[in-house]
Amino acid sequence: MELRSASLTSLAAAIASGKTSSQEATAQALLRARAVHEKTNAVITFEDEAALASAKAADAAVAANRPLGPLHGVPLAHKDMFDRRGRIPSWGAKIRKDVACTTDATVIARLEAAGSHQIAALHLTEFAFGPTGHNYVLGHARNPWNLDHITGGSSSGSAIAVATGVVPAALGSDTAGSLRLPAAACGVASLKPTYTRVSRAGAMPLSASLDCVGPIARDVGDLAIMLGLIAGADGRDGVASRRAVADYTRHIDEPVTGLRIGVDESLLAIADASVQKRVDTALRVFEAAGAIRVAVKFPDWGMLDRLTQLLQLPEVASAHGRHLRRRAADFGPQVRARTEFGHFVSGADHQTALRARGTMLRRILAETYANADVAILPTFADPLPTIEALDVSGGPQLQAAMGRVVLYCRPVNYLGLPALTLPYPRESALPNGFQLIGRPFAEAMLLQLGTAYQRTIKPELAPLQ
Amino acid sequence: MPTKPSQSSALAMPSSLEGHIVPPERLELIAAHMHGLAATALAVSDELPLQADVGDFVATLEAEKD
Repeated sequence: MELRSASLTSLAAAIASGKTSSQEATAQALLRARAVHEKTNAVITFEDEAALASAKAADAAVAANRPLGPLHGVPLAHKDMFDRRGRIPSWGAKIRKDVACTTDATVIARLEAAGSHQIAALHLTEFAFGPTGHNYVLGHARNPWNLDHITGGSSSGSAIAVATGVVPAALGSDTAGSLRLPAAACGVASLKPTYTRVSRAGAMPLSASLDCVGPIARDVGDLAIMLGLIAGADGRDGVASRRAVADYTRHIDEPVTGLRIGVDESLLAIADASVQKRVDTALRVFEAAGAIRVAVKFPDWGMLDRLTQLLQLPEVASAHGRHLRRRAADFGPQVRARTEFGHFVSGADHQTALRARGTMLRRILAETYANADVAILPTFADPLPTIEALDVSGGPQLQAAMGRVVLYCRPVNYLGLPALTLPYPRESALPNGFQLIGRPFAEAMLLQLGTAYQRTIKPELAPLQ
Repeated sequence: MPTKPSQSSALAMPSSLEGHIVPPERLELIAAHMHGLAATALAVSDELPLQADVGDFVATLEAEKD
């Protein structure tokens, strides 16, 4: 069996049936992870010993005919920002060197309960606070399709690991695009869930009003499985919804005939002309599958973006300002500069952005989504830049450069809406991607559309050997 | 239209930074950026219903029908 290209479901089935062993799958994943890391800087910590021990136990359970979870024996790897008992997640920073976690993050516990184990902790932007994959303290991540280009961030390592076939799926987080941008840049899929759909308990807090945890995978069906396992109420995260978790795989193969995809032409016009053309190409794939293109209009996107910043900046400053005050020299220049900003937002302005959120969301649901089931936007406004071109560090170009990268992503977090990212039909050696943005809790519909899309545009592995 | 923050208030170091020094060139960038954000907050605040509440957002999400 070709493990590198195996989906989550096919790998789990192969292990459960004895066609391959968890030890074989885990050993191969570790080998690939090392080879990929050498070129891309995708890994922060390798966990060979623990992973191989878990795999051995998983194989023993198969041999003993014990009940198996849906991901039994499957090796995974996740962004290094989740609490895990006995370990210290780096958060992509130099700061964390002291106290080991005493519990697992809820999402980690749920994936382990399903039978998976972790082979490595993956690269992220420092404090998950950067959309490009640059990390000035642990080294920049490199795109597996072209090592000179950015990976997107902050879930850079997760996207690399999935794109190169180290693992079929990985967890990341998304405060202002951090699942969507790396997925797009590395040519894979991701699902930023509705704000309250997945517990953040034990995930590094960045901006509590915006933070989401979600999966990255090559195969949309694998996103559905991952979301079904990690979603749901959690007493450790008061924001997590008590709404029942759907079986996201149940209707995933149903036709998308008649589903309406909204296009805001004036908002799309902000993107580079080549990106606009690629959105049109993706739309044609959906139209060929039976979906319908309709016109929609979002309210002032720039206003929504500034409201998002009024939440994000002071919340980052509140969460990580203590590190800035005590150990500024251990910060990279970019995150240090960005963390400073939030100290200058007034409490009144932060409160206005919080109070306006419900009003803005109701307005968009009533108007923008009145005649559309989902909306489509690019993920990046521009073709994928090089690492060098966006190496702005903490300098004067910082806000403008980062603002352009997250232009289409950040307001989606303000609105709390779910967003599925998929790669465009490939036209060059470099991938890029778009996002379908649904109404609250419309993840199942997004996954249905994504499945229809992947019937034509098949998932690809990055060519990195 | 909102008034532009005065230079001195824009550059005042908040107590939450507790001695962390932001260099003058970055303070200028921060002041310029904050001016845009504050203007948006002011404009939105003027139009926002008085009853608008922080809890409206999650309530709106959760009110969505399956």
